[in-house]
Amino acid sequence: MWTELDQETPLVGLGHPPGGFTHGQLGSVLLAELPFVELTNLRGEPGSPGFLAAVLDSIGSELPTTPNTVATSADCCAMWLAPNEWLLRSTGAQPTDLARRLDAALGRQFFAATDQSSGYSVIRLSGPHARAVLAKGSPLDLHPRAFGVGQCAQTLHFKTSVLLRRLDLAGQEAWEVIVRRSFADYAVRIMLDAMEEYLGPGVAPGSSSH
Amino acid sequence: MSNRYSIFSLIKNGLSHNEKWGQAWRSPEPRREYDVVIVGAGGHGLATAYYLAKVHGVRNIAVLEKGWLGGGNVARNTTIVRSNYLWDESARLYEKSMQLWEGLSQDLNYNVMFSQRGVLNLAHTLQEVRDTQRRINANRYNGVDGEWVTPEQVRDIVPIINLNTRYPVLGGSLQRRGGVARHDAVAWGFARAADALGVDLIQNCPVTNIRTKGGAVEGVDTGKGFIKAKKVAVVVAGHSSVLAEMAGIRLPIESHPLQALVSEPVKPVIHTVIMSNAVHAYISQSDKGDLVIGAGVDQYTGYGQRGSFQSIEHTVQAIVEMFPTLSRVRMNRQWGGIVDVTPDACPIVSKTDIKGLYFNCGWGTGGFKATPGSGWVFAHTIAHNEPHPLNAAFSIDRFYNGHLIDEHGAAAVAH
Amino acid sequence: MLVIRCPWCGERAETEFNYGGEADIVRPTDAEHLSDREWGDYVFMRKNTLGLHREQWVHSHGCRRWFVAERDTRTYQFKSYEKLGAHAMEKS
Repeated sequence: MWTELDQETPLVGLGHPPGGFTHGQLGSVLLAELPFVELTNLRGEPGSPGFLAAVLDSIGSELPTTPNTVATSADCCAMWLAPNEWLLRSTGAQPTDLARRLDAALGRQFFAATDQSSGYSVIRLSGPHARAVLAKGSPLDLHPRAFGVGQCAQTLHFKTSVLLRRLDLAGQEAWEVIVRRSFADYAVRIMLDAMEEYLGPGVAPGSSSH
Repeated sequence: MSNRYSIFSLIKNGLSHNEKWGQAWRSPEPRREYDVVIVGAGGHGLATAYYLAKVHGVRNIAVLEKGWLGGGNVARNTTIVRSNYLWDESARLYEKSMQLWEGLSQDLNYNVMFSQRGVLNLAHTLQEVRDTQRRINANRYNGVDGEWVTPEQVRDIVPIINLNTRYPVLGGSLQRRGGVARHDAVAWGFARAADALGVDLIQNCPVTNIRTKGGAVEGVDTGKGFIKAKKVAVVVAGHSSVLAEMAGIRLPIESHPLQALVSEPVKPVIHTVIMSNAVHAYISQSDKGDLVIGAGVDQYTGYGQRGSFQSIEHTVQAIVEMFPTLSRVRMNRQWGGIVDVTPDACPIVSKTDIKGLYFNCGWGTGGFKATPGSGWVFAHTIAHNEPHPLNAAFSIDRFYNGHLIDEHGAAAVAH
Repeated sequence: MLVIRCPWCGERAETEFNYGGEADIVRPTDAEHLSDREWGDYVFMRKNTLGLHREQWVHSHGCRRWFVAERDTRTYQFKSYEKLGAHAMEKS
């Protein structure tokens, strides 16, 4: 399924550059689509004997049990979604077939591991104005005091549900936004609109200079 | 009527610098006993008192009001009058009301400024087109006027509309006899006319308990003492559940905040009432130029006469989408009322299990248009201890026997 | 707009939540033996309390958990929150 030659992201309507859609400047605010990220939804009872250990074995990362926090390993980031639900975002360059690995490792457990890679889009906003752009559509307090690195939150961005995660890219403030595929075009277009005041005139969507 | 309003009384009082107008109604102290005590001096309660006195000859009536006369939902609605409901039962009830509206100013000798400027319900999807045309057909079978209008006709009626929105306007239904009335004047007109027939209107008189004995009503305890009554009729909209609890009755009602807002006055741009369920907005323009906009109910129950900001925001977004030219109009005021919502979005006008106790409630978001009709059938129910044929279907019993009248979404009820 | 404290996620804006009506309504287990009166009471009749009201909310755009809150329907102030039922994690 990863070998299809002409796989399209939902942002195809904004242009179709190889490597994903980007817009803006890192010195101000840069929006970048990270196409075809592997995402796996995992459900299970953390209190069930052996469950957490088996997951740790399989993905090399603890599952966070504190609400709205993140645990990371070499090639995976586990985000808390609910007391019995996590989103596992692969961070390596290649898909790691997480769902199948979890199936094998948790065979006798009460759980569900579902590949949702094609159901979501992953967008990264970085730069000094990234937070201000995001704040325009967010009911959350995004100040580092309230929302630091290592935290995630499911919330609204304008009218659509998103999963936000704060990143630390070599000291540069950055955010990852995971949004349902069918709302990705909406979410990105409204972010482009929000970015406009921070970018100089004449920067058309689709161009980038990072 | 001692103080009859006419061209002659206008001239006469004009000659005396308008200093000798009499009081529009008395403010009496309550007597110890009445034949009928009506709880709630809103539009429906005052209309009930008026028709009880006028049509059924009951003169020993008190209307008790917790706050001031006409200070609840009759002062807080968006003044829309229409009768294009889907189901037979509702269409007939609201059409009766419409017919009373058409003669109301003359009947009350009070100008309620009823203006039949038409009500336009827009359809934005193919399914809505089908539903709307079905409703127009149903309306016509029930003698309610209605016609399908094309997008071009919609543009002729409302030139400032943007037909090609995200949900394009594919047409709509137009009830030409629908329109607006001056909401406060409706309360005042009924109050004045009822007072002239001897009805005691008693303000600042909260009811604190409904006394019953042996399954029959005895009277009410109030802020002004116990008032004995052969019959007690409760018409208190958002507070119906509170009064019902006093009598030990359960109601299928939840009270929600419903908000509305008006803009600064602008020149005439909207000459009719425009409603859209799909994008959820309704708008009209008052005679003094304010754009009158209704929002949706808040999701939670509440008695606070105020709601959440996002309900207003949602409605304004829809208005601006449909009428981009209004995007920079400033809003002047915003307020909330408490609406009593039933599971089938239809009212309860009914006897209860307690002899001599009657409830008129559950009008939800659309009670204003029904004001005269509601009073008409409720007065009949109280006077005869039996429902009028027009409200027989609107009894509390329908929630036990299953004969609901499901107007949710069916009758262009936007919420 | 209300600020609602999800028992899992903390304080969030009302727009992330959906209201679920009166709490503590228990579905009758012997529905087939109920009278129309009893069934109607269960399905339709509501307390619609003026004052402190126990009610259900769901954090729809967040963790999607249901919970019970006590809120004053006059002031809209929340007085308390509790998780719905006992979670397996707490039982173990």
